[in-house]
Amino acid sequence: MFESPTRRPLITGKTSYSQITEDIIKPIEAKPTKWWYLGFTVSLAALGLWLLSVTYLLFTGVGVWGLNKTVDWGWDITNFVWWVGIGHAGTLISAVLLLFRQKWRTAVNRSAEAMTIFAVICAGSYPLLHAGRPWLIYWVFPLPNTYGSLWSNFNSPLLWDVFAISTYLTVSLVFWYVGLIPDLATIRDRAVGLRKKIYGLMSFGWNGSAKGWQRFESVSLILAGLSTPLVLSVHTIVSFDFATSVIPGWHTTIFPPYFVAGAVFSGFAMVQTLLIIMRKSMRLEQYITLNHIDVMNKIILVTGSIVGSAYITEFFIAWYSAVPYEQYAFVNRAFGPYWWAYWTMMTCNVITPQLFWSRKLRRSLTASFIISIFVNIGMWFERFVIIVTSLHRDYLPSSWLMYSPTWVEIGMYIGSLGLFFTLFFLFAKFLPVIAVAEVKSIYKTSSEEEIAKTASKEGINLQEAHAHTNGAH
Amino acid sequence: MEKKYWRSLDELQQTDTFVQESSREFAQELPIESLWSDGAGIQSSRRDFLKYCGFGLSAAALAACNKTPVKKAIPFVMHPEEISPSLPNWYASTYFDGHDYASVLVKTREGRPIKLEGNKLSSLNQGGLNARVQASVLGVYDEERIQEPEIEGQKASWEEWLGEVVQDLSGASVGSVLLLTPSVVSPMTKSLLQQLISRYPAIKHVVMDHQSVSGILEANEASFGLAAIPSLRFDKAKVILGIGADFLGNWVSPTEFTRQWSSGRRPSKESPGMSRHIQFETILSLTGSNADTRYTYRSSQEALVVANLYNAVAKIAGRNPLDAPALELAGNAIAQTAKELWAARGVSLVVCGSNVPEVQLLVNGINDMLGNYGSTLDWSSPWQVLQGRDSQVSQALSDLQSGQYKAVIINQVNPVYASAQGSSWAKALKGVRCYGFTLRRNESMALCRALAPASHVLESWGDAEPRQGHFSLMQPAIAPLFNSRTWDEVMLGLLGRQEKVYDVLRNSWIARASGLGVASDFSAFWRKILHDGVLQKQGSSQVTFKGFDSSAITNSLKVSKLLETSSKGLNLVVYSKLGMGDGRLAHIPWLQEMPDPITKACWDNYLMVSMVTAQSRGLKDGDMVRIKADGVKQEIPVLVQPGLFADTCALAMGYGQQFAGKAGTGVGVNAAPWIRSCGFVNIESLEKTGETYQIAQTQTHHTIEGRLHVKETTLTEYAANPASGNVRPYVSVRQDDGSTKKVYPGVSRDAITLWQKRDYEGHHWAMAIDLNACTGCGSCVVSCQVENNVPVVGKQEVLNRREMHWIRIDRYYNFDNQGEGTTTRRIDQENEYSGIDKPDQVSVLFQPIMCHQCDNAPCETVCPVLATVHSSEGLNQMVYNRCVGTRYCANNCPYKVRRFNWFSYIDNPQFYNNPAQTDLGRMVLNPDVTVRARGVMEKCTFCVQRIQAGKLDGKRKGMRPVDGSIQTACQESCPAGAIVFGDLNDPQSEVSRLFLNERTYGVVEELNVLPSVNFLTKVRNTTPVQA
Repeated sequence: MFESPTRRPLITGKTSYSQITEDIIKPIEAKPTKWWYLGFTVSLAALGLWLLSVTYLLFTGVGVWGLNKTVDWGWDITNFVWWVGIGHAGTLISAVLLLFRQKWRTAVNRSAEAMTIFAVICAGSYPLLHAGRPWLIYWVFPLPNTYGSLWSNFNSPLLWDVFAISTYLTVSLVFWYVGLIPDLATIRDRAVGLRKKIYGLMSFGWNGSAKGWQRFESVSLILAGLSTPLVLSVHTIVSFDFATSVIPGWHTTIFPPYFVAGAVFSGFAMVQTLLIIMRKSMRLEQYITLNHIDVMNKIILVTGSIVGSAYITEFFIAWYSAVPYEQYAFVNRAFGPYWWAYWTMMTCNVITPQLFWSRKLRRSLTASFIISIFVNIGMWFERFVIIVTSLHRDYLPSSWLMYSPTWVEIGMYIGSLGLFFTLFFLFAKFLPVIAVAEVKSIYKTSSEEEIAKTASKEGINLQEAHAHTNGAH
Repeated sequence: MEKKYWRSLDELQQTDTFVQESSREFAQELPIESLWSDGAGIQSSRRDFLKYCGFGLSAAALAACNKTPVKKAIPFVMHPEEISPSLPNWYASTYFDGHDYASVLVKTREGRPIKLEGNKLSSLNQGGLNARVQASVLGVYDEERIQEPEIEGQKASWEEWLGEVVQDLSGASVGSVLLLTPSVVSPMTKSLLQQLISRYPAIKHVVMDHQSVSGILEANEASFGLAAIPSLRFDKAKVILGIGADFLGNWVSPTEFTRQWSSGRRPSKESPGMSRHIQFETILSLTGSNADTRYTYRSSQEALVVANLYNAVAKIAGRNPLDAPALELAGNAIAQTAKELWAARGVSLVVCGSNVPEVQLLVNGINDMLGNYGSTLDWSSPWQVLQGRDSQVSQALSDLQSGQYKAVIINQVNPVYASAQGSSWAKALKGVRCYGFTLRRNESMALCRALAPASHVLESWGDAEPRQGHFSLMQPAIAPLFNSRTWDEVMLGLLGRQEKVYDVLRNSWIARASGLGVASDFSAFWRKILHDGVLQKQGSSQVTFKGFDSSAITNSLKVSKLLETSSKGLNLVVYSKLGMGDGRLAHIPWLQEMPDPITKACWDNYLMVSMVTAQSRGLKDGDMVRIKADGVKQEIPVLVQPGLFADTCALAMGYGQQFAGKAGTGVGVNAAPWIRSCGFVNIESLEKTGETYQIAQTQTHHTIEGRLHVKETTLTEYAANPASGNVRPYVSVRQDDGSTKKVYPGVSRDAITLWQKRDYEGHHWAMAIDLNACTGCGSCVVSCQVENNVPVVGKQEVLNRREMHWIRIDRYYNFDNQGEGTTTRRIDQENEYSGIDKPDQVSVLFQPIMCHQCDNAPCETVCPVLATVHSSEGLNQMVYNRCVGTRYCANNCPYKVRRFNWFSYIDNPQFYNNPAQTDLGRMVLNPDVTVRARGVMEKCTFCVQRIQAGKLDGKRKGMRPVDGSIQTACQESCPAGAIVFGDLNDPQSEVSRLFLNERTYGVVEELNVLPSVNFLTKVRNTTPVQA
């Protein structure tokens, strides 16, 4: 396919097919760097904290958290929604961008998908552990039983959640694994001994035949088609957890689109954070270029603006509805005792992404990294604000009260980050963090070297052209 | 011919040898002998072998039987006729613990008492029961009770114990042994006491009440010659004035007064009239918070307020005024109130909580001028439950100090703890031979050389005459759990009489029966009064007001400096809480966890300070202060309380005990050193220590934020429009002809809904709560806790805001000016009242909230596992076994009534206060209600076990349950009768009629959740009564 040479390259520097393989597969074969060991140790320590908190929780009861008679969900469901949101970028990048033939996704989709899976695993731990009797949580599944008509309640959004999240995890996992197969085969081909056997088993006998590639492409497309609706559905359904209730601040029809936008927003921010670290620590600057960072930042800007508009719309509707409870809920968010959470959210989610209107900041690694962290903080607070500030003051003022977390909740949150990063470090060590086969597929069209060749053939002055298009894609 | 085969020639020939040999079993002799015998020539046979086998087998079998499983469930050898498993037995009895009197019905299950209800036949409590009596049932199952008599710390027998006492009594000189008892209400006890004293003249009997009404008794003795209290008729009074008398809370006979008070305050469309209740007081009492108009005065000026009221009434009545300095409260309250009282003379009622006899004499004078005797104050059957005289008690103490007494017998009172002279008592008691008779160890009993265990009321035979001519019987609901006796049994022992107390009681009643004109069949009469629990005859007292010497009174008041107009410094007032009373039940965790009706605090007492004082001294909730008053110093946490007179601090009695068991020991500080008959002490210094302390409150947001959850109106508006103040939400629905029609979803249920209409074919249970009757006393809270096995979670969990009560009473403050309208201030911060001009002028709203059993229940739709589902009778059922604990139901409940089992309250040692954690405590659990496990949600179910029992009863009788036959626990205990439960499908039921009342509304009914609990608006009678 012809690619205009005036587009910015997606692979920079001098490279070749074999060089790509070498660059990406080499770290898997070599001993990990000391940075990897350091990161992995810290993650493992945090995971240990998670295990400690969870054990204490399971042996003692949910009372070890700071929840109370009025605020029955706190950090648990905040973290759940936050992690599910983070898990959104993976599908969007792999499925939607694949369907839209966005080539830049090839450098980021693998790690984004991995991140999705790990985030959904972290997310899934919360509904399980927040239950009073987690050992009976399987009752939410519509399992056949001998209790007559006793079954799941299909009216309950929590049940929809079970389906949404489990479907999402399954499809994401399959999609990710299918994409890994050609790369696993590449590793297999370079490996010897036990490693060869293991990767051989994992690559399902991939032989790189034309038929194999054709099937691979078809499956990818089918899975992309299956996943695309999930991008919209998962967070829509998560938002139903709140929207179908009667609680002011939850009972809102804007929630589905607002949650989806928020999820993509936070997911991209998390991918951004990870990419910037990976690019630096694994020397992948040639593949994860500033152009990639720039594009990602644009999506953060767009979704951040959607989220910001949603916040303002909520306020308008609360006023316009003339429902005093609704109005109070929103005034209380901004000016009640949890004002600091609200304004943290507003600052991080509405103001900071607007900085990305500046091209300079979009292409600045430091700025991108800091803002991506801000967005993640802001999105955490968004969920906290929605859950806690709506619950702590609802209808009857006699039940109004405050909620604050205990060390167990904090431990479980830090611990879930530990779980996430432990999995991610293992992934970075044992699997190619960039989809080798997919990057190779754009080598001819989008690498700096090849573009330069085409340009000289066509007689285009690239510098002039780039100045003219200002780096657009 | 038959062939014949043979084995040997011998066989063929049938030789002798062969025939002989063939009869033997073995061809050769077996060497058994040599094998078995050990050479000593012991012979053993096959028979022996079998013997050994048999022995071995049975020995093995016996050895195996060593661990026979112990069967703890031993069936009745003789099954008691009246006990059927799973069916409760009810016994009418009497509760009296020295302060609280109530005629009760005891519910027993499989022989154990599990619940007390008020006896509806009693005119005193009329079915109502206060929180303390509700909770007292746990006192039976108290592991900390004294279980055996003991002498000098050694376990002893009753004979030894009695012998010791008799020894001290026999030789002693007249009046040298002090017998200290609480008030004696039992005629049997009274006659036994007489016999005891005549047998042992050494005994000097003194009655001590922890909370005495000595002032009234002495005043009435002076005015009427009777040391008792006339029947007060709050139901007949048109204008009620309470001066520092918490008659709905803790004063004299509050359960009775609450019923009367509320029955005088039920306006209807047909007769829109109700009493007008004015309260003058220093602290915000339960009574004051229910008054139509409330004024505050300085506690040191109580006598002055009464004297000025006397003068104001005297002025109108044309009588001579007293010589007292003039004083007027804000808003000319005294003059205004005098006018109103005069306008309603003959049907007004003035009561005063003062314990100063002179002040009570003035109150008698006021009531006499108003002509209230004979109508609202009835002397025909005077109330005689509390008989203690402060003067006699202090005399006893000084005699004890002077060495007049050689021995002291303390019967169920605790002077060391509860008296203001506690330390003097302690010192004096150490010098004498002390005998204690008590349920539990306490500060005084710890000083006794010998202790004897008292039986609990529910283990005792007895009787009572709380009012003249009003008798009630006490019968045991369980055999004594320990080696205990009743006081009557102890007296019989001391008298050397061998009879059973039951026979003494019955014989005393045989004697009484003839006096009452029971002619023939005593057995039938006995059975009837035992069944009814009460026997009420009109008393015969005939008294007239004798008048008084007014100059003597004013002189006496001047001498005691009670008529001073100066208003400097802070006063400290000691009051008693509804849950704790004088603290004699402080070991019962239900009462510790019961939120105070006003402050909503539990598990503590605290120094209530007014908002003015808090502001001027920079105090806030939880600040520790060091307070010095009348020479006594203590460190107490502060709780800022609206409604207090500006210069007043208040501290509840009943806390700071050393022997109140694991629940009550060390909770709070002891206020007793500051108890004064004049009602206050001057605070010498009050300073912050700099430390802070957490006070556990079940409600921390105190204003209603302008929301209409509690609707109210005034009587004037109500008379004009019965639906005033009750604007109900509606939806405009377009009709076919284009016009619009207002549809009220709360009224025509199911008129507008997305849901499929529910058909309630059998019953449709519902509840109506009259906010005008409810006083917020909290009796229902404890009743529900006892009925439904609601766990006690302890102070830390209340601080964590996780108390488990299924019913709570919301209390909201409203600050307005002089009762002009009901402007509502918004207060957005928790526990924050800054910027309120007149913080003592607070009006208070109470609202009991339990599960509303919504027809469109938001909790039901969100549960993923169908653990909470709707019944065909409109109940919102909680299936504990199915619950996985997602808690979405609790989040989605607009009323926030769902309670989650955050921990395993039944075995987690952190919750040692939960009665269900001890073997004995578990006995009190209601077997009809599941004890919930960790991780499941729970909530009110309208006492579904009672509904089920009522339906089964109806089924047995072949009819629908009669309206009112099924009562929820909260309803049954309510002294005000504010809660009505019934079937909406029965148009004749009271609840159906109340649902159509103009005053009825549902809380947040605009959500269209269709609550099955509706409220009736509160009506305040704010218009002064005109002549």
